Amino acid sequence: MLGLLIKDFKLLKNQKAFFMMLIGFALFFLVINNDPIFVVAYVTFLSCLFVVSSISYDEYNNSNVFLMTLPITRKEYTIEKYTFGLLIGSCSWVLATTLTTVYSYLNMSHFQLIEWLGTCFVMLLIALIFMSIVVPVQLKFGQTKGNVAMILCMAAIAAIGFAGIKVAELFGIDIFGIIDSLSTMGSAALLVMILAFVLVCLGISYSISLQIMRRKQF
Amino acid sequence: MLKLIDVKKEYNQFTLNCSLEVLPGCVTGLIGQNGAGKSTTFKAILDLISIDGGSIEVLGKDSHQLQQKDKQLLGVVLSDAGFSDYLTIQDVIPILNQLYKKFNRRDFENKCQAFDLPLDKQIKDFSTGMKAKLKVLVALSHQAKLLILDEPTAGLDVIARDELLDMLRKYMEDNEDCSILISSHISSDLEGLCDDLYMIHDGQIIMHEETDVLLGEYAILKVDEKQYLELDKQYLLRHKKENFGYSCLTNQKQYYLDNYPSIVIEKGNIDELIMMMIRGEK
Repeated sequence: MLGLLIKDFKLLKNQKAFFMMLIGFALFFLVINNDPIFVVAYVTFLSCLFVVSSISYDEYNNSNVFLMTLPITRKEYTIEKYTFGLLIGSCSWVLATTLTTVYSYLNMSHFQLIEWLGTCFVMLLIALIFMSIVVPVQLKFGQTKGNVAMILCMAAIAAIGFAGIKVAELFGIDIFGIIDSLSTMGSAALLVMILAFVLVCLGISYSISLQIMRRKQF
Repeated sequence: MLKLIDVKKEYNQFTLNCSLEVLPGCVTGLIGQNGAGKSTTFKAILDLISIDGGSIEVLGKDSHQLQQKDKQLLGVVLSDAGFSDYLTIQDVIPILNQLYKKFNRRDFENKCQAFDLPLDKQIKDFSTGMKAKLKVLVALSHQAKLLILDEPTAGLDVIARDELLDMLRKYMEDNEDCSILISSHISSDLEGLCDDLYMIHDGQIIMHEETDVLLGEYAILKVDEKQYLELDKQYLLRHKKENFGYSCLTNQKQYYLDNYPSIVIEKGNIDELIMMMIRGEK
């Protein structure tokens, strides 16, 4: 698996220009818009998207067909994609959080460090949920069909969410009331709940991706 | 080393039905036209596609059960796939070093230099010949026991093809217990390299013979209508109508040399044998 990680990091070198743009925009949003949380979300989300580009690089020129003949299994390939996404997403999140924390500490009069870090952590978790949707879609549909599939997937999630709320209303369940009541749980408990939810999402996503890879015909 | 028994793979307009065996220490060739089923056979062996029937044994194991340590013993060249074009050889070296326990870094670098492959240039900027050489060097870089080479010489000029085939000959000399399964649509490449040859057509193996027998005992008889009528046909594999009469393929050249001294008997090359096997009638 380490060999595959090396490959993906070597391929990342080809996206230097995109990286520089990412950093440039992040600094722009931070200084001009004075919106540090947007910067954390922006950098973390886009970094998690590098896992998509790594899958696209593998598809280009049938490179993934050759990769499957190397001493790796389809399971290891799948694990590597999540590991790569987690690594690149977490590292970018740490950098963005550090930068924005220092910036906020220096520029904001009533800066609450713990609350701020909690909010940043939630951004990382949301980005990981996003990654858990993107990876199986990309593995299944590839670069060309993947974008359309992703839009349909997001629309389907929104539709399911909307339908869920409507069904809950029919049974007299107030979803928004439940969400409001969550805020009374306390920040730590809420964070643990979100973390557990993200881990479940990643677990389900991994199982789906593994099945896709196992059934994939090259 | 490698055994395929009644392997079936069905597509809409193509069915593969293939049995073949590669013995230890042997170089086995798979020849056939484009679309005959060579690449499908290779993909089935490497578990890149599922099969609809039969069994495939690679290094004594079901190909579906191959694990990381088993794949360490395979060296693979695929005709239309390789490392990402956006990598350089310098990028590829640490990847191979990490993936293969027996990867010989120094030897690999030396061979790349010997074949004028730049280490710091992206593969996308390589010529077809350079890409082909790199693929073969990668397959030979980690002391593989079984080399599975699909069209390794495709798109190469004569000199580059010769260099590549020399590399494979040298590898077999240095590693006598190794085996190679190689495919090519250029039969002359395989004539001088393979111990035995399988011929595939429309997904079916239509002939299997040792190369020496193929070149020594197979022949094409060229006869007119009258000679054809008088000819003993029990040793004819195929016949084909021609302007002058008939071309007939036999695997008993000596029999016809002894009994029909007046007819023209040509020692056919493998291309002619393929043509007769595919175009001729039984």
